[in-house]
Amino acid sequence: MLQYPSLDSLLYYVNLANATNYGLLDLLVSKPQVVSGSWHEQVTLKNTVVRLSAAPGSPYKGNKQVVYDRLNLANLAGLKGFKVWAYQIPDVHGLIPAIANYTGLHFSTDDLNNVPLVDNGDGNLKAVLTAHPDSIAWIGSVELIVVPGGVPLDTAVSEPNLPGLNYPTANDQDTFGAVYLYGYDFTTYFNDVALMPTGVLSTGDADKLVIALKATDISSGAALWTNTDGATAWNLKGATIVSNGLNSSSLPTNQAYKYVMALTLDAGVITPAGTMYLHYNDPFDPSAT
Amino acid sequence: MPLYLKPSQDEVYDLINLANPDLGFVASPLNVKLSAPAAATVSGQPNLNTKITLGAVQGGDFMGRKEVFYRRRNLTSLFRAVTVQIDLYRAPVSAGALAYTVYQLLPYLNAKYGMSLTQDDVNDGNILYGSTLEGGFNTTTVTVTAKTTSPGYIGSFALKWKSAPQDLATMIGVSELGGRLYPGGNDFTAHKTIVNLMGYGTDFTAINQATPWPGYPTSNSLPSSNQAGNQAWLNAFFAEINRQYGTAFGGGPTATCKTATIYPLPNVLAPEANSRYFNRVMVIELNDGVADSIGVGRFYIHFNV
Repeated sequence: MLQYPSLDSLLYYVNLANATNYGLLDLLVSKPQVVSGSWHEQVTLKNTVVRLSAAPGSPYKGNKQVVYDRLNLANLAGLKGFKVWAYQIPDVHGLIPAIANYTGLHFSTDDLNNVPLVDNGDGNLKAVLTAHPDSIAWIGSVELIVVPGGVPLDTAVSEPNLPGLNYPTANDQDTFGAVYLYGYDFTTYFNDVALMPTGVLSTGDADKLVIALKATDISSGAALWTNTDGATAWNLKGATIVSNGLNSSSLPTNQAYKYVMALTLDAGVITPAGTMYLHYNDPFDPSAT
Repeated sequence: MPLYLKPSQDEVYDLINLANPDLGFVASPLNVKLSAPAAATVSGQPNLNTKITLGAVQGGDFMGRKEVFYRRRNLTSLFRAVTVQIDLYRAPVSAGALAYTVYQLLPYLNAKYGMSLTQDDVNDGNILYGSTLEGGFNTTTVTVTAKTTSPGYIGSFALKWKSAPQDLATMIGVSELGGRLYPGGNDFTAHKTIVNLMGYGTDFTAINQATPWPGYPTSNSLPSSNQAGNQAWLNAFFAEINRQYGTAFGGGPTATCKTATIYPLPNVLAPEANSRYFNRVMVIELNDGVADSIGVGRFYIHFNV
């Protein structure tokens, strides 16, 4: 159970060897001691001994020493996949979650000495993992390359409610003026629309625009355009020309047209809603070559 | 830029980055995968209608996964009150035959309405050539429905296709015209005689009556297919030409004349003929490029019958 947390791993092998079923809270584990060659006059190839004691409150009593092998971190260097990605992690202990995520090796802060990561000189960082002398599962040391990345999406994406996608206006019950008039070509009315100044439409200009809109519009409001006091829909009375002139790639407009007029209806006119763009080109001259 | 510049998937990545400016890395298709979107509601967030799971591309900028919520635009709402109409020429076919597919019209729709709909956003569909005429042009309306897997759209809208006059700009694909040349070409360094003006003003009525060709005056079997039979008439014709111009045109081998066509006048097929004084013209096209051709171009032989 290479990738178990250290205590889980020790308990696993205790239970496996003895047909027991100790849980994590049942036993206390002493600091490990190095064993070399023999233990209590018994020849052993194991390298570690610990004393297991019954935890207070557990249904057990007494204690027992067991010998087993702590693994050398150095051997991890030969395992394919021993590589992690981490972002703005300063030290080895900060790296432990990333190591678990990418390799399944579940180190604890008790297993590894906490030292800063160092620059590897190639855009990556290098972590020197050195087993703490009291680690119950690990000995030795190994270098681990840390590639920038691996930001955990679940915590980094702190705002799960995304602000969109949006319609042209804030109210999705609107008839969107920007969509409603987008597809029309007002070049035929160049001589009228090109001369209209910014600001609130004069009555004469509003009347001209009503004529142009009624003739151009093929949608449901076509016949309804008006220049009337108090009408709350399709009404150009009090409308404001925000801008009028050369088109710009910074506007949400059709760049196939040279000119565009941005028009907003009076605040009391709710249909269509939002800024409308009337596209037009220079008038066509059939004699020009 | 259009109203909606980016394909809807790109818009979703923009939203993720906009709402989470401290990700460390810019989320993109290179480092974050998007699951298929699913309908969802979020308490207190009436605008949100979709959930999607972000998954890290392994071995990259991100790790793990995260469910996020956003709003897909409802095409029905977006095009509220709008008659979405694409005017595009289609050569007439029988009613019920395929005129266009929805996907074929998507680029036109995007251009006209400032959209960036892709084949990932909406289902394809056939737009059949109908029998509904509007101002003389065939129209068909179909419903375009958002794909359930579209990152950006739900709902549907009516798309009206209307045939339109064929556009000169696309019809006239060859704008550099060839062929306006003098007969035999515009290089006059070794040029054969151009015969077009020779005898144009002459009334050949009397000569044709005196020496008719077989089938005179209506047969235009002259000359190559019946050269021998025409020889007498050709001799008479050339005699008059030679008399006027001092040439030595001879009796006419087969190569001399390629075609001869008689037009009643006036005639739109022979606008250059003199219909003021004559009611027939025989146009003899010489065999341009043949070594023994007496010249290049065409004789206009005017006469009355």
